[in-house]
Amino acid sequence: MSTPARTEVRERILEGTSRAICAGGVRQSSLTEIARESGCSRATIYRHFPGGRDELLSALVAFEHRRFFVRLARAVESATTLEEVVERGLMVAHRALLELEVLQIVLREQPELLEPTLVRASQPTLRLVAEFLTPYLEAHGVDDASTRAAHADYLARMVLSYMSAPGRFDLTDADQVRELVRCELLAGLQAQPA
Amino acid sequence: MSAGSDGVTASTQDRVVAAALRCLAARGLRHTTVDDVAVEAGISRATLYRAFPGGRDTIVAAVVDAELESLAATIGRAVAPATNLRDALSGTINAAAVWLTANEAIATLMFDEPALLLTHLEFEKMDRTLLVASSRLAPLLDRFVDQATAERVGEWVTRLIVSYLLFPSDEIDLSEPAGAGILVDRHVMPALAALRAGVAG
Repeated sequence: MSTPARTEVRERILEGTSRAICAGGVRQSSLTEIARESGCSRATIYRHFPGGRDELLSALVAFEHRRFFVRLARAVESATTLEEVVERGLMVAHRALLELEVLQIVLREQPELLEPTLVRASQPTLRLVAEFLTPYLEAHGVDDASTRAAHADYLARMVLSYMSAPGRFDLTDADQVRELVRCELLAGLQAQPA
Repeated sequence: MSAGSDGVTASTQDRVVAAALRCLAARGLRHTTVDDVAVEAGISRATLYRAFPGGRDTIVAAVVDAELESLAATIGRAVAPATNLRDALSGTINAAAVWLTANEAIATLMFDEPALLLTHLEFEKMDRTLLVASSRLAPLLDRFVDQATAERVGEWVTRLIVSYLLFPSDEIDLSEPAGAGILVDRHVMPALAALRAGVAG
C-alpha cells in the first residue's frame, strides 16, 4: 500500500467519523455508522486504527485541530497588515469554532476526548500562531528580533485566549473586534521600541 | 465555631478539606476516595459523612471553594500596598503565579488529569471562569480606575495568568515580580492608555 493512498483512506475514515458524530453523537457513532459514512469496510477501519475506538477518536480530534488551523491560516493569509490579520483571524476563528459541529458535540458529550490534543498540541499551537504573525510584525515595523518574538508570543497567547473564550467581547461584531485588537492587543506595539 | 445540631463542627469540615487537598496533591482526583480522605483527616468514615452528607462531590466542591478563597486572599494581600494601577496589576499577576506554582494539588492535576482543569480554562467554561475572576479582581482595582475598566482589566489579567499556566514560557516567569512587571509595562499599561485616549484606529 503506497503512503499517499494510506493517508487518503485515513482521512476518509476520519471525515466519516466526524459526520457520524454529527449525525448521532459520540457514543452512538458505532463502527457500522463510521464504516457507512466513510465508505470503508469495518476491516479497513480496524486496520488503520488498531487501537480501536479510543485511537480513532483521539486521531479525529488531532485531525480536526490541524484542519482548523490550516483553514484559519488560509482564510487570513491575504491580509496585508497586522491589524487586519489579527482582526480577521479572531472573527473567522470564532465563527469557525461555533460552526465546527463535531467540536461542539464532543464538548457537550465527552470533553475529556479533547484532553490529549489540548495538552500535546498546546505549545506547538502557540508557536505556530506566533510564527504565523511574525512576518506581519516585521511589516509593521518591529525591527528588533527579540522585541518581535516577545510581541508575537504575547499576541499568539491573546489570540488563542479570545478564540477559545471571547469573554465580554462579541467577536461577531467588527467594531468590537477592532477596538479589542487595536487597544488591548496591539497598543503595546505603538509604545515600542523599548 | 459552635457545633451544629448534628454534632458537626466547622473545624471537622476544615480538617476534611485540608486532608482532601493533601490527597489531591499526592494522587490526584481520580485516585482519591472518601476513605482516603477520612484516613488522612484522622476521622471515621461516619464522622466524615456527617460533615459532608453529600459525599465526595461536595468535599471536592468545598476544596475548590477554599482554594479559590486562598488565591483571592493572597492576591488581596499583594495588591493592598499598591499605590498605582501598574503595581496593583503586576502584584496581582505575580501573586497568582506564585500561588499557582506553589500549589501541589494543581501541579498534580495538571500533570495527571489535565482535562479536569483544562475544561475550565478553555471554551464555554472559560467564559464563566473569566467572569468570576474578573468580578473578584475588579474591587481590588477600582480605586485606580472606573468599575467598567476594572472589570475589563481583571478579565485581561486572568487571561494572562491562565495563558502562562497553560503555556509556560522560557522567557517570562510570572512568579518573579520582574516577569509580571515586564508583561504589565510592555502590554497592559500601553493598552490602558490607548483605551483611555479612545484610540481605536
